[in-house]
Amino acid sequence: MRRRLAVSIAVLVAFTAVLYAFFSTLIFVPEKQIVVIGKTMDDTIEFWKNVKEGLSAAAEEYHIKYEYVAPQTEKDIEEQIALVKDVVLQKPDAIILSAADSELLNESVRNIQAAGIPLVTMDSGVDYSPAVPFVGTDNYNAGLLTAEQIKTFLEPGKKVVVLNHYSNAQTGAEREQGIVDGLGADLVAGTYNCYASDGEAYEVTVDVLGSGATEIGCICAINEVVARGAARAVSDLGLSGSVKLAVFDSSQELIRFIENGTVTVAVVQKPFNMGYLAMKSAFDLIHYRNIPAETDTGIVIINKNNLFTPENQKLLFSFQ
Amino acid sequence: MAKRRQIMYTLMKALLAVMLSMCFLIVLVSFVLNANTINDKETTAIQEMAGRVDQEIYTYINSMHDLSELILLDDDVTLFIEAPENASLQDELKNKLVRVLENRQDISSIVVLSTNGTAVTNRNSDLNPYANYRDADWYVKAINYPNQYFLSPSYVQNLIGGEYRWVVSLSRAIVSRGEVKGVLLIDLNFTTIRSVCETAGIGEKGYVYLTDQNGNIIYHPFQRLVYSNLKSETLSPERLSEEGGVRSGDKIYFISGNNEIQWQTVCVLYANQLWREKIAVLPYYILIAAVFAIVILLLSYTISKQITQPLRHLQTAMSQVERGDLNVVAKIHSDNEIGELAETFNHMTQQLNQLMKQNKEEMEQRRASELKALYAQIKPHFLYNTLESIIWMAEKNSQKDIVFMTKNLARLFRTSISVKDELVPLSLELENAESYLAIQKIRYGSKINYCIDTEEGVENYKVVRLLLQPIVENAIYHGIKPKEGSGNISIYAYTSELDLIIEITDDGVGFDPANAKPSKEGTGIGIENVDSRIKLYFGENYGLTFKDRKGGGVRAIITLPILP
Repeated sequence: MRRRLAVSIAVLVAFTAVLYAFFSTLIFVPEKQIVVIGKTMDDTIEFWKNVKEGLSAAAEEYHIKYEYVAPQTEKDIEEQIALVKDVVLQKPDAIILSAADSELLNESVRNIQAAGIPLVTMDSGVDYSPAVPFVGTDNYNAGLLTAEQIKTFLEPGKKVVVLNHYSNAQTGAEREQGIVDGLGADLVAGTYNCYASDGEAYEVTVDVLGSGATEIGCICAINEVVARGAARAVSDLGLSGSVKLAVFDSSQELIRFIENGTVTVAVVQKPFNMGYLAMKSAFDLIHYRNIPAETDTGIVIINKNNLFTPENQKLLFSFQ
Repeated sequence: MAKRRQIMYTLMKALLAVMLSMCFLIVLVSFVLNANTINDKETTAIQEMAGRVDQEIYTYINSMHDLSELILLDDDVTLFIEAPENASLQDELKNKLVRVLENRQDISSIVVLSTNGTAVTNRNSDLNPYANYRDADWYVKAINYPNQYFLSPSYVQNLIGGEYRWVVSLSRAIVSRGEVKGVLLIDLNFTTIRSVCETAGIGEKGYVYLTDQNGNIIYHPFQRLVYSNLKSETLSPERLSEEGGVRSGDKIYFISGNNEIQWQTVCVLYANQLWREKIAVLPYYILIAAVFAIVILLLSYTISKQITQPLRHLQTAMSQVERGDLNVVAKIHSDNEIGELAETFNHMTQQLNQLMKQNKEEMEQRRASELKALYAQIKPHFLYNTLESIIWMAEKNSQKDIVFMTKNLARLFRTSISVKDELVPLSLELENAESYLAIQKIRYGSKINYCIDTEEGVENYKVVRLLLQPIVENAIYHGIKPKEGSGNISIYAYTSELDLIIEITDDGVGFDPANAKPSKEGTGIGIENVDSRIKLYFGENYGLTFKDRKGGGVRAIITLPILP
């Protein structure tokens, strides 16, 4: 009888514990660990600042603990490859990767997948197939739209110079391809790889424009870093307005260049959305939810006239 | 055993069923009630909170209005607006503005703008030359409605060079001598508004945001997400006037509007947050229910045990009685029927015990008195016969025989009558029989021959006294006396297994023990008496039996227990 009583109590206690545990897990969701491998630690780049803010917003919302790691600059491909290796050994719950080089990072992506770690690529993907989920701008399409914009103001007979930040990065390659395809090869005077350096972009711009070649009617700088180099050069050369500037991304500095007419058109991506949606996708992957193979975060064409429309204010100026 | 268990189990089951179901019912009801009260309480609390936040925001904006009044009445402002190009007046005003706003974290900038384009701010930067402020809402409205102040929605202020800040601004015309000479602009950052909204905590995920009448967001804790179209409020602007919890999508909105500044304070609660909060308390309810259940289990065990334990005691006591132990007392102390039953039971066993004792005593008394009666019977009977023989011998004048006879009679009396013990050694009894035979031999002469023999070692075994003499007497009177010629009597004592056997054999005429016993007056008493005395003493297994002897005569067999 006593033993029976003891058994009944034990069963009751066990049952309660199971119930308790079940409801507790419903309420207390354990924190997930996600590592974001970016392209650069350079915090003067507003694009990445906004990406991080997007990452943080989603991480806070979904109770994720995340860590951002990146090589010093975008051209340190080897360093990024080494970082991926380290991160894989850490075995986080998921990895978000912005591949600095779409070819050289293929192996790294394969390693991540072999380790069974959910992976989302953000901003810059890899060539590797089967495709890894991607969150970012449809860069080829963005290139085509840029070309379309350029054609509206490019004076007849003038040509376009394209300043690429890094032609082996997916972003660089696809944007350049889109622009060249959109403009037609005969409108492109040349493309330059600036290795993600505003100094390089400045010099290339000065070289291209300073040689007295008057056929150049437009410089197209396809990311924030090269855009600011090019804008500074055009401004310093006193060519604001006469040589048009089409850029990707925006920053406070670039907005001033838009206001003063140095930059004619800016194709603005949505880095905050990119970061937020990449984090959310990683979270969904961890929880075995389906996510689209590609999430296009979209772009907005900004010029002097629409800079302060209520909608564009919301996009261009981060509400702190 | 099985029956007792059944009672206990039945009791326990019944108790458990009733108590557990009641416990769970109570817990369930209190959970549901509590869940509902959370809902009601929170609804009221949040509606109140919306009103409170709204009031605080209004107070804040009002204080800005007061500040603008103060600035407009200031002499330096008046002086500047009259002569906007005067650099020293500009400096004086600037210094004043900087001083006044030194500790105001919530004011992004104050701009006193002359209609001719000169401006004084509290900031060090110049005005942004590209800023197109003459088209801006705050400027146009202030100029056009000089008697009112204008409160803008949230927007990016690009007036100050190199800065693009999200602000809410209050603007009003600066009128001098009936003429609009400029505009005063106070840009507010969201420090105060944010802290007002954030201190109003609503659950874990609830929040507060502000909109204007058209549903444009002034402040939102997730403003950036809303602006990036990553989040949205599904509340349509036309429902902003409703009160008391508007359900839209997965959220519940509590709105409080202010007519003066035409902003709406919206408190947002996730519908599933309520549910989650309810679920959140569920583990505690489960714990409480479990504790209750354990208590109930123990309680029902104790209660049913308390009821069945006395029954079990009583049953044990009864089975002890059944086994013959009448000294059992059922130790049950309770006031209920079982206690009564136990008392009755104890009373019964006590009575039974007493009755048994009484019975035993009575039996013993009866046996003693019977024996006494028997001895009383023997004594005269034998004495008469012997005395008869002595008389007969005296008539024959055989003096020697008389002496012998009298001696033996004396011995006979000594061994039988004067001995007080009920049990005597066999040797004494044999002596007694011999004395008797000797007396009879004198009486009958050669007609009687006898021999007495024993197995080695049986002489000291205890036997009932006056055992042999009646049988010997019977053998003489009914066996040998009627026989023609002489007869022999032999006594032989021996052991057989656990019994002591004494055989008295004669070769007389024999008799039918069934009807021979009471055949002659005075004689039959002895034999019957021997058997009943043995049986009285040792039980039914012992006694006296008769067997016909081959070649005539009777063999009397006495079976006794061996008593050393």
